[in-house]
Amino acid sequence: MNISAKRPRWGALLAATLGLLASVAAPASAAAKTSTLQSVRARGYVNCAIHTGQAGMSYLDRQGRWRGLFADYCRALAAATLGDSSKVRFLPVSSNKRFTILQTGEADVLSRTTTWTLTRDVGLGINFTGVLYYDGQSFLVPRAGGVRAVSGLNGATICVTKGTTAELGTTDYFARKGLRYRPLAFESAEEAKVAFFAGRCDAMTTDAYTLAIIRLADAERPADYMVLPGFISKAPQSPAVRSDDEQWFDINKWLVNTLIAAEEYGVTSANVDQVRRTTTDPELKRLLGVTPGVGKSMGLSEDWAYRAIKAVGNYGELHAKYIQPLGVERGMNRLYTEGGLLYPLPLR
Amino acid sequence: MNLSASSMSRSEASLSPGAARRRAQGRRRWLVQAAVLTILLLASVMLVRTTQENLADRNIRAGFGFLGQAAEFAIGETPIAYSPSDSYARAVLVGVLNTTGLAAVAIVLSTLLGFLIGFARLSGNWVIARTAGGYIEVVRNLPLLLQLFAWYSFLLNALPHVKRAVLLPGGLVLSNRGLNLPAFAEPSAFWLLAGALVVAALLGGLLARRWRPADPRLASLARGGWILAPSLVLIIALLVPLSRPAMVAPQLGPFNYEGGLELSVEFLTLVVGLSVYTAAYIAEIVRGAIQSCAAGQREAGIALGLRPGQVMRHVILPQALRSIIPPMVSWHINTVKNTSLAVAIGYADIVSVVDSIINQTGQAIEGVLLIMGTFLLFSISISRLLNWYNDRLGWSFSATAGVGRGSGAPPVNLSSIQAFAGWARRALFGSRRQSALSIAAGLAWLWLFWRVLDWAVLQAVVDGDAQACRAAGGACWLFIRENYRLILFGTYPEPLLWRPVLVCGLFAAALALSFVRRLWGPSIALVWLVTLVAAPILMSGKALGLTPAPMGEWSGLPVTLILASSAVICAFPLAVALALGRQSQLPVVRALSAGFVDVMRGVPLIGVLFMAAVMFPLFVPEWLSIDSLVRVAIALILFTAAYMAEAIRGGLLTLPDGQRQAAMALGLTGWQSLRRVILPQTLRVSMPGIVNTAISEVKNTTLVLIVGVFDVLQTTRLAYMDVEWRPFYVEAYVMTGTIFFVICLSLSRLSLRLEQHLSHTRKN
Repeated sequence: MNISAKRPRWGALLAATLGLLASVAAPASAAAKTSTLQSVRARGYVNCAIHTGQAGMSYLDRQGRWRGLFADYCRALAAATLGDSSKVRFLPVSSNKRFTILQTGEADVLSRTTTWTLTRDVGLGINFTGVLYYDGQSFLVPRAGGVRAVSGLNGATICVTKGTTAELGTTDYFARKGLRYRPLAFESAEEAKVAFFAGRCDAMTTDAYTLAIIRLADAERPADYMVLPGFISKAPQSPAVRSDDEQWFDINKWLVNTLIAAEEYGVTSANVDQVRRTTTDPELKRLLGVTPGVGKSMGLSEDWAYRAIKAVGNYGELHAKYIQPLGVERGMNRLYTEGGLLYPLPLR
Repeated sequence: MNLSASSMSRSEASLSPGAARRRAQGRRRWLVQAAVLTILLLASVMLVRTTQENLADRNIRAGFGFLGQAAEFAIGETPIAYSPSDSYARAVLVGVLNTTGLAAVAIVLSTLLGFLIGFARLSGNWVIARTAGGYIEVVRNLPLLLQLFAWYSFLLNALPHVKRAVLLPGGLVLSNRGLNLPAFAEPSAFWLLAGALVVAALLGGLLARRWRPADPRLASLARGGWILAPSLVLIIALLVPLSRPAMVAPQLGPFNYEGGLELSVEFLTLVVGLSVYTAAYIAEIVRGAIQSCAAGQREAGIALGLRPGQVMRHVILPQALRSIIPPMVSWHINTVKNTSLAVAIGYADIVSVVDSIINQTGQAIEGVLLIMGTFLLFSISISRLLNWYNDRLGWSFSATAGVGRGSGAPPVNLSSIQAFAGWARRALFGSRRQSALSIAAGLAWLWLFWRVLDWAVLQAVVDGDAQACRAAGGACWLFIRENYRLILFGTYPEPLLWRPVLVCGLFAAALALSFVRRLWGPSIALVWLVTLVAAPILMSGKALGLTPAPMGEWSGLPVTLILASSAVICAFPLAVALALGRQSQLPVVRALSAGFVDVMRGVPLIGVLFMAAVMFPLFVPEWLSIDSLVRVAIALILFTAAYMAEAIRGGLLTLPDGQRQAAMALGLTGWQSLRRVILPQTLRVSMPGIVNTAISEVKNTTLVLIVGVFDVLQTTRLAYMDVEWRPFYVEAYVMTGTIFFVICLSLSRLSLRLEQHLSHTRKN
């Protein structure tokens, strides 16, 4: 064995390593971006970030399946893009990790009660696809405390979930009114609830809908608690996608719209087959893929909307299934024809 | 690393000595190090480029510029003035101060409690010693996070509502919102007092050191100087603020107690939880150190006519302190790192504040760096302080305190009635004081036993519904019956439950097999390896052609078991490499290994998990998406490897150099001597340390719930957070605590057996 025979081996090893690294490094920087729809198809399922547990919106049923308005939105999306509403992987995520999980590409869509705000829309590199639920921030208080309006909360300790618009909304409101409060910020809504009902805080704040549900579902005696009247902020809840994929944004935007339009046209999961066969309405024909064109222009199959409605039903059905049983009024979340804010865009 | 080192020594062994060989060797070393550096450089260039691309995609501007912007979020507890219009930098400062305050209080309390328990453990009284032993055993075998959650639930529910707060003497007010204390109206008075105390301490110290009068009466005064001087200054300092009405007592406002100082219930939870946890470890250090003092020392002290208390104070403790302080200080560093769990409780420590900032700004990299930097700074300054102190006193420590087991009291002797009576006379009724102590402690135990029996059995509810549970005074085992599936297996699809059950069975079998001495060696390693590979395959079911269950649905006990065992097993080869790398003759390899190990050991696990959860996705190109469970597992592996590497390095250091030389003389190549001589001996010696690392990893896996992984602790919390079952958090924690206790206790018994086996074989 001599040294000169050995030396080249080291050189070769070094060269090989460098070559390997270079080849790994090259595609990393030069890789063409695959569209979200392509990667969803290749993967075979939609990655859907949802709330870790919120009655009516996304919650685990006794069989360990995710249910609720926003969870079923994921199913509708899977039905529209993959033709099978079961092809969803649910990613339960806390409030303060939700944008990261979307931004990093781990989730294809954030379908989690998220308030549509300017700074989020503009600053986080995401797009909101359309309001699934209109809400506003309010406070839940024990009746015994005697507080009947938000202005009565001067000096109170307020439980809030970290990283929510409610956390910032409270700060703004109290600053504007020149009132004081002590915040107690928790990682998850569950912890905030437990602390509030143990009397750790004088009030708990988040969106009024959530508070109404918390009062009914989580208070030992709901009558002992009340949601203060009036909103201190607007909180339109919308799914969101990354802003780097126009096609994926369009799919989601029009899916939200479709679910609402289906209610307006009276198309339900039960009658969608029949309507599809018998309808003469050109707009419905386009929507349900009888007249081709709409699906293809979004890169989907023509029956995308049909499959979505068939899988989860229209907006009214979802509301009746998940939210009505909780005793929450439809309020602003009625169709515009009934005095609400839901106004589907024309499907032309 | 191994490869290069071994090929080098192979040539060393086979070539005749000469300058050419040395030169060639030098060149090769240089080449290897250059290669390592180049690879590192390339990798980091790649990393930076990918990260820049990802950040640009997400509209995030890198850098710490955001620190100057207004934070816009409120913080509940602020030791300095802070409002949402202040900058992010000031919010960070508030977080750092809160962490510092929490750590300082927890360190002082855990030291006091630790010494107390340590002495109790050594007590000649059997009941006291056993009580202390039981405390240590229970506390050390439960995850800290579980203890914190249990304390928090307990304090929230057991303390009264603020409107029914308990008024304690001295103007203190205790409720489930926290403890309110009277405080100085003006902060200046506080600083005056603090300043006076510091001056007094310095003055007293100086007096005690420098003033040594010959007159014995004056000398005793001088010895007392360190008490006298401070009290004088203290009195002066107290007189100044007390001359005007400077104290403010807390008063009940419309919602809260206003005025004075408020320590929130979250702060109290953390203080109690951290102190109780760390005290168990400090107690063991104290006990080990005192027991390792030669028995002759005690006898000599007694022979000199000193009382037992005096022997302890003047003879034993001064000697024991040398071996108590270094490991105790490293536990204090752990306490500082453990304060990071505050984020799970809702206390605004540095991690919690940075978490809010990351969430608002998306500056994940900067945020994690801030957390890591803060804790590294804490760790390094405390260990520097310890080193400086050691050097000053001229102490040279071996870091290991005595590891002898047992207590001061003799064990129960049941061989005959006479023997038992003799034992009882010595261990229970040695003196009048001891008898009183035994009876009091015995009664307390009886009462406790009765209460537990009453709660857990006599008044317990097993059938019926949640209403029946609320009506009853005892435990609600019905809660466990209704929820055990949710706690153990979480969201895993119900029809497929046999798979996680089988996985848990496999792990139980592997653990049981580990106790069979005949299997110790490669076969037990194989058993664990097979279990670890089989578990995820079974859980996902895809490879076996079963109904697939995606990783997002895995939760509960299998997740905990898979994470813990993968952390320990996969970290092992990495740890061996790191330990060898630290001993390498190549400076670059040595520096890299040491750097990795020291950084990992200097930061809290939660920092590493944050890195995996929120930072890692920014580092990798988009096409490479890794499931969050896998990312968390990788973070745990890297973290474990650093601690295990130190255990293995400890083993390497005990190996006499003669072994290496003898191997060389036998003509073994470097690789052969490593494989046949060095590693087998090292691993045998460090195996107990490795098993101890495994115990802390089993407990550490609970932290993954903070980054959103549903481990068994998280499913436990979910179970009792349901309104129907909310009062039954005790039952929930009893169940999950028992699971952890059984796992950790069997591992620590395993470690003990290994130790005994080792010392036995060494003797023969």
